[in-house]
Amino acid sequence: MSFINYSEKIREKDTVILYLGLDDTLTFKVKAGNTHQTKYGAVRHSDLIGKRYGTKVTCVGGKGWVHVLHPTPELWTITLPHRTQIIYSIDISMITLQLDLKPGSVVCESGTGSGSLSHALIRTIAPNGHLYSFDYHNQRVEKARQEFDDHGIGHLVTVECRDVCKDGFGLDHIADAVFLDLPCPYDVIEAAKRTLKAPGGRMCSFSPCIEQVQKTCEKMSGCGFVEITTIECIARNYDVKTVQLPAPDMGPVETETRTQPGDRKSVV
Amino acid sequence: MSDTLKIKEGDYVILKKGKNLVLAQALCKRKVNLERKYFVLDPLIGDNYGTSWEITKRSIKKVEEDQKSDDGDTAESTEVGDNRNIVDDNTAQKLSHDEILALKKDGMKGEKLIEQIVENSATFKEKNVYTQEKYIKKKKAKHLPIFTILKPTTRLLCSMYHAKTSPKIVLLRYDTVAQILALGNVHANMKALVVESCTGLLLGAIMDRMGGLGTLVQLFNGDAPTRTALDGFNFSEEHMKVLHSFPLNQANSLRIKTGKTSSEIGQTVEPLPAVTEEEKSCDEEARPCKKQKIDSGSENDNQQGAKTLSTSETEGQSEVSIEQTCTNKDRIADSNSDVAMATDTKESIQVSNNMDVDVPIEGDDGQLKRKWIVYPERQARREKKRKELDAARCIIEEGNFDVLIIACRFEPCPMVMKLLEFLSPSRPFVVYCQCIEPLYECFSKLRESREVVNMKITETWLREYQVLPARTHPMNTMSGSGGYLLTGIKVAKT
Repeated sequence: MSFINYSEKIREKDTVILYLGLDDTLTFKVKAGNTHQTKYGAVRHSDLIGKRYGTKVTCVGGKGWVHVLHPTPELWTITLPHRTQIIYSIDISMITLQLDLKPGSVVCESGTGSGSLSHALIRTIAPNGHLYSFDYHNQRVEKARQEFDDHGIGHLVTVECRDVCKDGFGLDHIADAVFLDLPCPYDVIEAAKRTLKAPGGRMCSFSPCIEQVQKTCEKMSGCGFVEITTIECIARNYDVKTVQLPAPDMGPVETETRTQPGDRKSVV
Repeated sequence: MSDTLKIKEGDYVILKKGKNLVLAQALCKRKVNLERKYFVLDPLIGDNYGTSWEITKRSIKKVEEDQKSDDGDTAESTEVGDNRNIVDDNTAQKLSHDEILALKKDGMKGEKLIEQIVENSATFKEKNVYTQEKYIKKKKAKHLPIFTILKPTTRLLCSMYHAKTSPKIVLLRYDTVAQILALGNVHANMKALVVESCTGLLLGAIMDRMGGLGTLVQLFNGDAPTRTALDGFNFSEEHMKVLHSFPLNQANSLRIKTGKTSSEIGQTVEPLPAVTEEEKSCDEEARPCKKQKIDSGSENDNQQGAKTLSTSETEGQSEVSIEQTCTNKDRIADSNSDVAMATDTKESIQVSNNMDVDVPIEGDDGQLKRKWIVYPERQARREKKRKELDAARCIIEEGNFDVLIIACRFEPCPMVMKLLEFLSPSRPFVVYCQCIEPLYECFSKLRESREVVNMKITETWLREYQVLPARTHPMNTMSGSGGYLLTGIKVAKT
């Protein structure tokens, strides 16, 4: 199993996604002998080994079943253990499009965070691109490296513990695209520009607040970036349900006129 | 990634002027049109992408880096004028349109011309700094014919097609394209099954993300797939090899086979007889097949793997080709009378070697003379097409697809229900529709089938912002809808 190539059958050491319900997923690494508890019962890892991804697995205890799914960056994003606030698929898809990424692209990103975007970037640039990822939190860097290796994509990414705001990226003119998810992205624009290939490349900064956006745009413009655009993208979900609207009770329909004032005949 | 950033002859390039994007092919001595100005692109060839050019008479001249004027978005206002005394009665500008044209003809251009216009504006000095900037920007856009040359990318092509010919791409907005690519987990070395009515735009986006590795099968409607948008991506021949085509009107005859690989092509596929047939009307989707059709150039431009079925009359010879029927029953075309035209028929339609002309043949029973002349090159082409069709069929019937993507102008439900069987379990499918109601039907049917999980219908809301110092706000207009997506994951049947 790897995040960049589908496999058919579940094997030992695979990271799998258990699907319990809509947006209700969990993940673990398959190890013979282990058991995972879910709200529908227990799932024995040994039961999974050799089965096809997509199979329905009845839980021990008979309370229900789950589906075992092959991991993808999108499923990973909704399942992964959060170590920081993450970027969700709606924004990830837009970032990927706007940075003109494709197999072979070289990307720099900071910060790595929980690796949600990183997995999606690696999926897009595989098999011959590379991701250079930076985070100033040592533990997060270690965890990210571990996860990338577990997921079969370690060879496509280099994670480094570094404060890019203070020390820059340490890479010159190698990237096709740079991505920034930092509290002060405007401090890094100059350094980020240096990582881009000489003829040019794309840069993207992701910020929750408009003030950050304003400062970043100003700095980008000052550094000679062109075609600066700012976009916001939100997904709306639709729930499909059959709803019966009952007819309103507005009383009986009158067919005879009143005989006396205040007196009305009822028609049932 | 070694990306050639120099413009080569034959490349498709994007000319950007303000917000306007135009796709053109850089061919020597070929004129292109940008906002009603016609010029050749010859000086561009060999130069870099990202450069700016000025339109002069019939050609273009490069604008050097130092000559480029800044966007002027850096004004910081300390004194703020306002419009309390400005009356909008068109008398502010002293120079008339003709006078400005005369100045241009005399050779005044660029900054100087703008300066003249500004000087001759009676109200300019009263305006506040931001308004002045906006005024100058507007005059520049009008009077300075400068554009930038860009390398086409999925992003640029999607924005361009959405802005200009949105109905031709079933109103697919670029953020929805981004969603389709992400939710479909489109990556290199995958096997994708696509049905689209976007003149090849979505196909190009998917192929771009596959990087020339993997397999992509398109089910196309009609006789040949329309793929004009694919040109803009500048895919090499090698890259195009991932793409296979199969006609949608034979889709119902596809059956998933297990244990068969593509290497068994030709051994198990029954050969199709080389005879023609009249086209029957399609009854499966209640849409009549086109009986009479002169293939337009655009439809036949891309014939990779496309099956052109027609009978044609070319200077009196008959063209024997294989017919697709629209019935559900046979994969093999029924034999019918072969069409042979005598050399002395009145209708001699001149066609080039590439174009086959569809001519109604139903009224031709009165023909007395029948001659059958078959040309070896056409025969070879037909053979090749038949082989490609068989290969595509084999690839589809093998199954094991990693994603199913539908973005059509047709009802999605029958297509989804039929094509889902070719998708492997634990793989996503994405159905796009410009309206939401057809997706409700799909949703219900798929839920009943118990073959899918994690089904969602989503729409994306896209807003662009103008971000300038002290002038930040969302754009005044926003696209109302970019279409709807139904996504889910196929699982093993329960």
